[in-house]
Amino acid sequence: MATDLAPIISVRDLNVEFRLRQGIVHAVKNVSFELRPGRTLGLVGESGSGKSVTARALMQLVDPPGYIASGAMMLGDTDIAKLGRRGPAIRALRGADISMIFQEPMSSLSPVHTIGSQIIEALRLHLKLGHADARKRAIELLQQVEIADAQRNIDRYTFEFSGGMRQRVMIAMALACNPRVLIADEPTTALDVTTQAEVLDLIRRIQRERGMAMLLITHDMGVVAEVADDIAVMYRGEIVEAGPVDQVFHQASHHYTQRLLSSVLKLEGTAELKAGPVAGAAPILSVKGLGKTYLVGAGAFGGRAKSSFRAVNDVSFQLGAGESLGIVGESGSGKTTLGRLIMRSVEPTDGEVVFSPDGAPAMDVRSLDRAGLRRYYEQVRFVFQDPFSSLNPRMSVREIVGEPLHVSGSLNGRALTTRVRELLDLVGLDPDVMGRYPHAFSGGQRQRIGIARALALEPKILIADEPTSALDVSIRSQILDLLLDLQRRLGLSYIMISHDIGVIRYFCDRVAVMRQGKIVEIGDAKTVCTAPSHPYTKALISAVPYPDPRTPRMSRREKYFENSA
Amino acid sequence: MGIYIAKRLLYMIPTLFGMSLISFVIIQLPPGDFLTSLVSAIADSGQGLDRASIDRLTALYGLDQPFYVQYWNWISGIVFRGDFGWSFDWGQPVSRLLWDRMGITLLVSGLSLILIWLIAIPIGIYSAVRRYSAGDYIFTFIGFIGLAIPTFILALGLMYVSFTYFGLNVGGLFSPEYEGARWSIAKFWDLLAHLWIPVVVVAISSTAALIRVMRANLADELGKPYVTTARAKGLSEFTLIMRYPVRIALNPFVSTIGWVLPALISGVTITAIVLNLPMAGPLLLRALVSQDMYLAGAFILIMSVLTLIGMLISDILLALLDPRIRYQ
Repeated sequence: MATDLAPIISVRDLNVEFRLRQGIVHAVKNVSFELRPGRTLGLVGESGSGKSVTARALMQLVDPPGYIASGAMMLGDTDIAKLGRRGPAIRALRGADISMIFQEPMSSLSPVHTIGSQIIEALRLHLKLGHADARKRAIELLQQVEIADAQRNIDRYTFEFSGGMRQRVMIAMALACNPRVLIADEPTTALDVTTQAEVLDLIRRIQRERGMAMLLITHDMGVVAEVADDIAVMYRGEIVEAGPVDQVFHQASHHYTQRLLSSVLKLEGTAELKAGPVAGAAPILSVKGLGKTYLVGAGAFGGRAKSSFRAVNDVSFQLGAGESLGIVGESGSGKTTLGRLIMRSVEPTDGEVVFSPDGAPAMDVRSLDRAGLRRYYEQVRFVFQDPFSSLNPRMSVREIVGEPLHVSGSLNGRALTTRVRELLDLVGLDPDVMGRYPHAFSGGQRQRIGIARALALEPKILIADEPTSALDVSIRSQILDLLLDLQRRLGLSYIMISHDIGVIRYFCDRVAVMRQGKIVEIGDAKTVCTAPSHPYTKALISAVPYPDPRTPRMSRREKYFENSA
Repeated sequence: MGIYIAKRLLYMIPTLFGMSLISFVIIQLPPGDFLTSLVSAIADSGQGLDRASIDRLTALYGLDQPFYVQYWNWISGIVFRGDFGWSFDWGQPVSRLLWDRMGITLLVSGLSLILIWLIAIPIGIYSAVRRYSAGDYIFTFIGFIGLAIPTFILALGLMYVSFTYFGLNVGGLFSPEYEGARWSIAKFWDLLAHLWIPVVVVAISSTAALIRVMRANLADELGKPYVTTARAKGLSEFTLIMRYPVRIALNPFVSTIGWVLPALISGVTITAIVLNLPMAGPLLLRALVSQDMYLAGAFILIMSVLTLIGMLISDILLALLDPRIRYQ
């Protein structure tokens, strides 16, 4: 172990507070840690635990009304806590001694400046290079972060790059002035798993080569297990547990850490609640040759489209009654469009969708008229991804959950209120909260409200598009368990759309893997997740970080290239 | 970029056609025509105009022809010969009246626009960066006073002050001694000495709104992650604000050029009347009152064209400022 190396930064009893109208909020309480050369400290915690604020405090980047109340952050002989938010002293540190990689590379880079100019700026500022030298160095940096054709790409803009490429640019920028400390704030959260694996590889390699100290902030225990040497677990502003990665993962002493790890590990397995599909059940929904073509570049006055784009291409599957089918894929694979095509909220270009509920005539969804669609929507409903924006903030919970009943005209007045109470009870919420508005609820509770709304009309099928991706990991399994419990009690069938293999493996009976609009592999969830047959699925699954430092998975991952299919 | 501009120019043609049609319809809309008001004016002066001469005049001006023939005569003259028709009221070709007035109007409006930006952008930036500070409140207060004072009162006030206390000759564009003189440095200086009053008056009334626009735009941008990124690079606060959020906050500003120009031109009418300036506004007003249809039509058409040109300029500037638009 290299713990004998002297720390580059040592933080002692850091307190960060926010002065709000309701009073002072202690976002970070008595936090202490050290960053040593060549080592990575993973700062983990759920949303609101204060980990990002801690990282920003290190560079004096906490925005008002937040401020550093007390504590010391020693970088050599300099106490960063005493430098203040502005002024030349802190500016000389930022970007030169300490630099930071942010979560969302699209919004963290200026869209109207070329990537080159944003890197060159830092070089000229701290290293006092001339323009030509700075440009040369920027090209070298872009090459180091494996951006092909750096000579040409240096003059491009962020929106011309993919998410992973943008994050590489961000990394190049952070590395520009050879910092001693690199802070990465959720550097891969916005990326697909395969891209995440590559970017993490890159960060780790460069960090080791240069002997930088790194502070990695993440909510993903898998990422920490793969990348970090030490861990500090934050909970409500405090570090509740810290130590070498292996020790924390295998001998966690604090009950919060134990709970966090158990909810992470739970998602590594299969749900106990899972009933399994009824053997020989008739398919309730069958999709045949479904496709959607978007025309690109068609003018407002008609005109021929320049090209067409197949978002979903010849997709066929059957959903059995009482079954959960997972649809997994990376961004742009067409999984969300597929969900919308089934709902006909996006009109399919070709193929057919047949809904055949038990004891009722089958519906050919594509030929339904308005009234027919209405009946279809009563039985097939949607659960949305973002529990914050999918609930109208100006409607009370009673109105939100009761709206489908109201619209369908099936219930009114007291009967409707009674039904809303039932529904809230069903999803594990106290029925007495129904007079309140969405802002009074946490993310997990809001998602429960969304589920109650979807259940209002006693549907047969729920299509859930990333229902848990906006939630913390401990809440995630609760929501999935709720859905499974409901499935058992109400005989529902699910289509679960997700990018998260863990969620799919935990929740689904069967899984379809999508890539570029097509299903590349479909089969039993356990088989696909443990012994995939298609090379793309293999690459995808091997790229998922595994939350156990003793069995890293990513470093041994398989890569998928177009021609290896 | 060249293709982009060419495309925009091409799109302007159908728009121009539509606008010329609407301009012509508008000037035809009020009941009666120029002859009606001429006949009543002559009747007022005690003389009668007999039926035959009215018919003769009607035929002469082409007022008896159907709408589309009149429109064709009008527009073809403009497009092919630069002939905007005859002003009944002034007894002159419209084009002779038009360009002088339009030139002065554009000069005053253009200078006002520049002055507005010079005041509004820095104050807007200051207000956004130091939101809810004393300075923000003070500038906002002054800005709103400027917005609230009617322009003609401001014009009268400025005229009074500069005449009584500084002994300046105000009103009109030139002092009497330069009125007919040839252009010289002295005459140009005299022009500037007269021009500042309308420019300031017009600018002050529009500044407050643009300060608010700039403040709101920039305040939105200041919280964006890319600003934090720039700060994390170690840039000074001034440099980073100017280079990143201000650059992006300017976009909505630039896109207003299109409608700011015509708004200024019609907005200065009252000021122009008060200050006795030979600008387009008063002339248009008079043309509309006396139903001098070709003169009014020409003004409306030219203002529409100016709006279009303003839009084109703002679109080109936007494309230059923002690569996301350029690359679409």
